[in-house]
Amino acid sequence: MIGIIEKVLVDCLLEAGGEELKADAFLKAGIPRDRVYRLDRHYPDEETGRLLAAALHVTGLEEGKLFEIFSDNFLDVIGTVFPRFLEMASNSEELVRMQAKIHALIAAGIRTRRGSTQTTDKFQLESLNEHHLIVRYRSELQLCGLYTKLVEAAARRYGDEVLVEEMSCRHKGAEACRMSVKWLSIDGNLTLHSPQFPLDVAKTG
Amino acid sequence: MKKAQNKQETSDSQTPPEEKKRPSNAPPKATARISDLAEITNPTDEMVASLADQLCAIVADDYDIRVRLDSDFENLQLQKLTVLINSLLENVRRNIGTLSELAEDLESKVRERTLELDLVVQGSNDGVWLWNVEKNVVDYSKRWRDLLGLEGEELDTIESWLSRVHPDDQEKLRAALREHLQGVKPYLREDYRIRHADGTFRWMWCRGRCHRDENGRATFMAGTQTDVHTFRSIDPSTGLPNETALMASLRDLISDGVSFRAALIGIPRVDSMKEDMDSDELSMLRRAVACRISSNLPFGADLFHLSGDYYAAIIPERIQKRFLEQEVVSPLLSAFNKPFETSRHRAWLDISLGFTMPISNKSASPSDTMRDAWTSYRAARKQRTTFNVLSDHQLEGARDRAYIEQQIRIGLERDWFVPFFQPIVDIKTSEILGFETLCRMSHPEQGVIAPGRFIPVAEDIGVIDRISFLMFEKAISMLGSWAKLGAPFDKLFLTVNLESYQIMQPELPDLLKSAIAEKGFQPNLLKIEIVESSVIGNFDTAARQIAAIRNLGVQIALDDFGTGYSSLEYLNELSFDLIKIDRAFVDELDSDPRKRSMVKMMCVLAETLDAEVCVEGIETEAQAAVARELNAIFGQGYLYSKPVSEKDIVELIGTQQLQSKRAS
Repeated sequence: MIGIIEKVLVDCLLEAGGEELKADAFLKAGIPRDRVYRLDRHYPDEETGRLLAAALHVTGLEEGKLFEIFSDNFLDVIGTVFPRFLEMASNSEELVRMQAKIHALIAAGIRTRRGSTQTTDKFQLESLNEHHLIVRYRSELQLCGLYTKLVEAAARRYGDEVLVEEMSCRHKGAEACRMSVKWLSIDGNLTLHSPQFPLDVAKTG
Repeated sequence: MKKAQNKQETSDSQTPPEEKKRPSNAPPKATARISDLAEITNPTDEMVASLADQLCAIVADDYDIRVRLDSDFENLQLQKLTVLINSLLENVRRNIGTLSELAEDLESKVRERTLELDLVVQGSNDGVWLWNVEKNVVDYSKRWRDLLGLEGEELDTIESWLSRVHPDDQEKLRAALREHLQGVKPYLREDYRIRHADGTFRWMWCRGRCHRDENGRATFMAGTQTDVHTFRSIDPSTGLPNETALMASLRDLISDGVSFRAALIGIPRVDSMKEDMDSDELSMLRRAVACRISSNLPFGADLFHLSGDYYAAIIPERIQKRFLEQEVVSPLLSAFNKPFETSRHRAWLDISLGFTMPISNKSASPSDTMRDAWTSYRAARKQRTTFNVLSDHQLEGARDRAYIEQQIRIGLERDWFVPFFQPIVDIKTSEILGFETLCRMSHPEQGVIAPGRFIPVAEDIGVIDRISFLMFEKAISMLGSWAKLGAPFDKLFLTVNLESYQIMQPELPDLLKSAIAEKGFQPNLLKIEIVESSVIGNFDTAARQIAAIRNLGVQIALDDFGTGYSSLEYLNELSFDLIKIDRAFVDELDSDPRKRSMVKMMCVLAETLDAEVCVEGIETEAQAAVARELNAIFGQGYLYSKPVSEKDIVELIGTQQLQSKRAS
């Protein structure tokens, strides 16, 4: 998993419960206390999975809620660290269309040496009709729920309205997750930072 | 995306922040030294320097590196930069990898294709050439050079090739190249002779095609050269060199000034045996004939197969004319005394030879030499001798014949053939009653050419029918003109000679009917002269045609009576209106009792058949007296008048009228 995911998740924990909550989560996940997640590093999917499970446990949030919070935080980080990516997209549809490439670009940037298969292109756009995409997502972590929330967060960020429906899912035995993403309206008015950030995890929990 | 691009353009066009911050009237910065600038003063500088140092590896074309921030100092922007640098490196590595794979794939395909092409070229045994037209550089393959024995020679321009081509073929090849380069022809396809390193010329077949730029200009041209010498110069049916090889040999001998004699050899009887033999048997016979001639020619002679049953030999000059029979003819005759065995037949064949005079003049030509050989051969056949050595007289006759043939063809195009008219008179009164239409060639330079000079040639070259029909048309017109002139012309008859082929034309009666109606003359004033040979062999058709013509009122005359294969039965069946006794019987008619008896018999026969008699070739009054005595009706000959032109007829008839008036 590209390090930015873990980095944002740790930030969410710190925002919600400070170092103590982060330490609980690391302990629960079996991750060394002094682990510093970096943007320019790759981390094993299995470790990311443990960290997510621990985060759900220590925050007491439902998965959907945690993903929603994570998504807003993630877009804030992107807006801070990679603002050009958001500026290059006129609306959330363009951003989602670019997302697979951005993911591949970052994944390529953290690949270690020749022959590495640590990071693969997880996202593929199968249908390219206007305002309607079919996205194929295949990952061992099976974070299709997170993807859905990220798309919805992106739409909110641009003032667009989107409908995401999962057509098939690995959790239900499918070979890959396939999601229909349909834009109901497009405003295209970008807000770089989420108005509700940071969320109080304790309050929401 | 437009929005994003606009943002990018705005950002790029902005002035660097440092410049903005510094007021225009601020004092200039002091020039920093490299040692000051290179000094690392904080952890960020240290990490940037580390990244830059790692990137230096790309100078060795190593894009398989990944830069790494090892510091624990957390700097998100540097981490971002690291990610992007590594992503860029990864893309470069991937693209290089893809390009390398593509290059390897292409090289592999090129190698494979080259191997295939090499196999094709080697299999075809062709030489290959590749011409860079713009640079005029030609790459000739090893095989191309080997074909001409030019291994190791400096060959790199198109002239290296063209200058070796036989002078007679050079312009043809250059024109073919030009036409293809200019796009007139889609391919280059040409055969030519080219000089081998051993000095001989060999036949080659060249094919090629050029590549053109976007303006249609030829940039490259490539093709093959195939050795077709055997194909071009050997006759497959006999295995002997063919006519092409003969002409090349003659050309070489003449240009080298070597004296020789050419011979045309014919095997006349094979033609008549074709009907009894199948093609395999005929081929077997011809191979045997070729072998027998070849093995019985004297040492140093070369034999060539022309076509069918004709061969040509080049006889060395050492065999002089008086030894030709002994050294060339006799051995061949002896060889041909033995029969030729085929699968089903034993064939005894004849052989005829026509030798030319010795050829030693460099201005001679191969085609003239062979024309002379044919002339000599024809003379041998005509004389029914085994061989003939061309004489000056024969050569002169042949040249005149060739000249006349040419003039006949020109004359037909330019209307040089005109009718002349020889009077036919009442044998008793000498009054002109009609004329025989005769053909003359009115040459603009030579004047009137006698029929004896051009009629045999016209018969040989197959245009006699055309000339004859021309005379027929003009005679019909003449009769039409006379009908309009009135007396005494409208009572004159015209005879006109028709060839056998014309007599047999089914449309002839209808043609005559239309002509009579159109021109308005009395049908019996037209008498068609035919010779006996016209009807022999196709008697029934001839009888039908003659009957149909006579039904129109047109009369039929039997010409040259007594010289052919006259049959009393034919004479009885065909009903001639006029019988013309040939001049051969008239010569010495007054002094030779036998001729007189024969003419008398002919006149009696004609009377029995209810036909009138005209005696041709009367030149003396004594001959005319005998003809009168024997009851001939008409006379024709120089005694009365030579053939005259159309305009002289009026004068001739006018004079006769005058004399008639005086007499009365």
